[in-house]
Amino acid sequence: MRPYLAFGGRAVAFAVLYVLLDGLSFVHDFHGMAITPWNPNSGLAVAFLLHFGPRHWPIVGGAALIADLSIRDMPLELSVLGELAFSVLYGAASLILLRRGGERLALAHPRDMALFLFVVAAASLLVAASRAGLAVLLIPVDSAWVGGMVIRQWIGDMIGIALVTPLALLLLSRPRGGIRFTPTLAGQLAAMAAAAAIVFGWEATDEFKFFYLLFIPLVWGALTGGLPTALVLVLVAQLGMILATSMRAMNDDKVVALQFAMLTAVLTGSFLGATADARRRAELDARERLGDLARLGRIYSTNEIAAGLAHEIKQPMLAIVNYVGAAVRLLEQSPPNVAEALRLMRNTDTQVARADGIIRRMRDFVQKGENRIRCLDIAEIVQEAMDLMLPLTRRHGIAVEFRKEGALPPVVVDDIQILQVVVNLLSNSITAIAEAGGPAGTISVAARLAGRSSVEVAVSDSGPGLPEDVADSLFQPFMTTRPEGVGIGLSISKAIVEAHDGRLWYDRAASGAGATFRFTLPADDGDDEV
Amino acid sequence: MMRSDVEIWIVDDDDAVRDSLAALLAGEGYHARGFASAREFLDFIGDGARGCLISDIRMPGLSGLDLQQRLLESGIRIPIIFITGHADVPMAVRALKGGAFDFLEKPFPNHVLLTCLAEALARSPVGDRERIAGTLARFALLTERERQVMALVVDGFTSKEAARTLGISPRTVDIHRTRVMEKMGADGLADLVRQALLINAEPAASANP
Repeated sequence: MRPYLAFGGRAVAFAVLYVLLDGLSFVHDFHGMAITPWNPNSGLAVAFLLHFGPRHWPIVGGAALIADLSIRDMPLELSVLGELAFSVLYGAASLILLRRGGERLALAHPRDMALFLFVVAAASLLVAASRAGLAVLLIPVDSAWVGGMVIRQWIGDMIGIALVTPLALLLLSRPRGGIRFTPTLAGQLAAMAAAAAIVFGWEATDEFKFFYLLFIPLVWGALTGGLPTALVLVLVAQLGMILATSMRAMNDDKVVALQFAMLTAVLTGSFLGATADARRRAELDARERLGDLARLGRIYSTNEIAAGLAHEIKQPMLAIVNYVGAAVRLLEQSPPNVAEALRLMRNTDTQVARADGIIRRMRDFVQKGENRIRCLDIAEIVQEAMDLMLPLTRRHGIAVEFRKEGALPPVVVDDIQILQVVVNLLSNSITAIAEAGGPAGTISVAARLAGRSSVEVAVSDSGPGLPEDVADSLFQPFMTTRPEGVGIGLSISKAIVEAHDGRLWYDRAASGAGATFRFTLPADDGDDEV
Repeated sequence: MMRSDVEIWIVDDDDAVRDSLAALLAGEGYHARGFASAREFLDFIGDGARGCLISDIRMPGLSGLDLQQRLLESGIRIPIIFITGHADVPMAVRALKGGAFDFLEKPFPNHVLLTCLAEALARSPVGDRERIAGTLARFALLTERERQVMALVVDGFTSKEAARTLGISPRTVDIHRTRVMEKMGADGLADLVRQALLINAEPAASANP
């Protein structure tokens, strides 16, 4: 039963919406016929067919017939045949689009958008021609009107579909795609409303001369918000135009001409928006790939510090064994020293938490950190990295010192990735010192404000430094001086820092004895848009 | 000798390890005293001190092995039990060759440390001779191949390296190695190294063909 209910539900919902839209947009009709230059209901019909499948064409036909009969006063046979042509032709167009564009037509992709507009243009032309042809055959129509009828019907459907179908599909898609109400969008909507008021609302302005004003908010919105924003903005302009032209009882021919101008706006907005979306997706992909690569790098780093981790965990384990052993002995005495035994047993809690912390820290380091963009003090990250590397530095008897020069503004970063950068630099320094095998080494980490708006971190070590020839190819992938090294640490670190709009480099000048690496990160200037 | 007559010195930079060991030893009736670094201990210890040192090996600053060296140079002869989280054969060899009494891998059960400590404090030439005799008796049970594998393992060879040297598969090396550990009654790599050093230092080891 349920599928039938759902089917019936969506059929009824669609029909109600369709009739409403058709009624609302029944303006500027051509000589009293069901031919208008603005048909958002057609857009709704195509969206319905694309989303639920072309086999729903009879529902579309039925809804269109109900709308026709309730809104317009037309011969029944003309309505029936006209809406039959309408539903069958758009059903066929949807079928072609779904076959060609795949199961999910990606309108936010410029290529699919072109396909969509092309097929829709052809289908709406056929619909317009059939409506006009039927009118000529069934009712006495002046043959001089045929051209006007076809053009009005076509432009009305074309704009309605190009504008409403993608928006309706966006609203139907899960997760609800695209439009988030932000201050930027509010500004764009206001700008578009103002432009539309100037262009259409003001009697003194020539609509055609001033039409280009609409493109300013449109281009702004398409570039920042992609396809959904572009479509919403054109919709605002379109509604403004229809409202103004109806109120001013503007001449039909002028409205049709304005619709053609509006079509250029729809096409511009659609392609610009789709292209901006495609760009953004490519950027996100690149970021995600960097994320994967970074995680791989962390796994290598983890291998390097795993031995240290094992050691680090043995300390609390030993402490627990000792505390419990000591407590058992106190309880076995006669009389048992319960108070002291309890005190010792309580110490084990701290040690269990300590072991747990070591494991957790390691796991957090390796796990994919999604959306971990945080605003924090760089000192926290450096401290965390030093803690992670503590087993290794201890093992090699290396002292690590951290200096924070003055108060630093917070940075907005993916904390795990920046942690990885610091761990990597520390790990390189530790290896350099350990391989040189000299006396106990030191690593110093310093953070300071560089310039007005960035934080610089320098990692220097007392190791042997880098030979000139190595220094040149330092950041190339797979460049390593260590037999067991993979040589991806520095190149990944550099990519991570650059993805944060920072810079990472080897500081030759500062490298007296050991090596010094520096990286910068933009400081948070309190702007929420970061 | 009463337990309260001697001091047990614990050198470890980990507060919890130091504190818990002191608690354990105090419960056993020892006088235990902790030091956070080798340097601190060197400043404290003087000639003629009687007791036993339990020291970590890897520490920032002076390592446990450095500490052992300094003590030898200053002529301070005290038994040392090393405790470490990294069981690394060359390190164990160095520690034991330097005269360390034993080398325990963290974490260890209470009784292992307590037995070891009691032995270290009761150390006597007679006791050493008995230990050597026991080790030699067990070593005599090994086959030729097992002796070869033991020699390589004690020298710090990995199974793979040992396999290549001997021209056999790493799996076979592992099997021999397990059998060696069983026959020698060794409860860890460090113990095996200790036993090997014990009989190598003894002329009787030349009984080994």
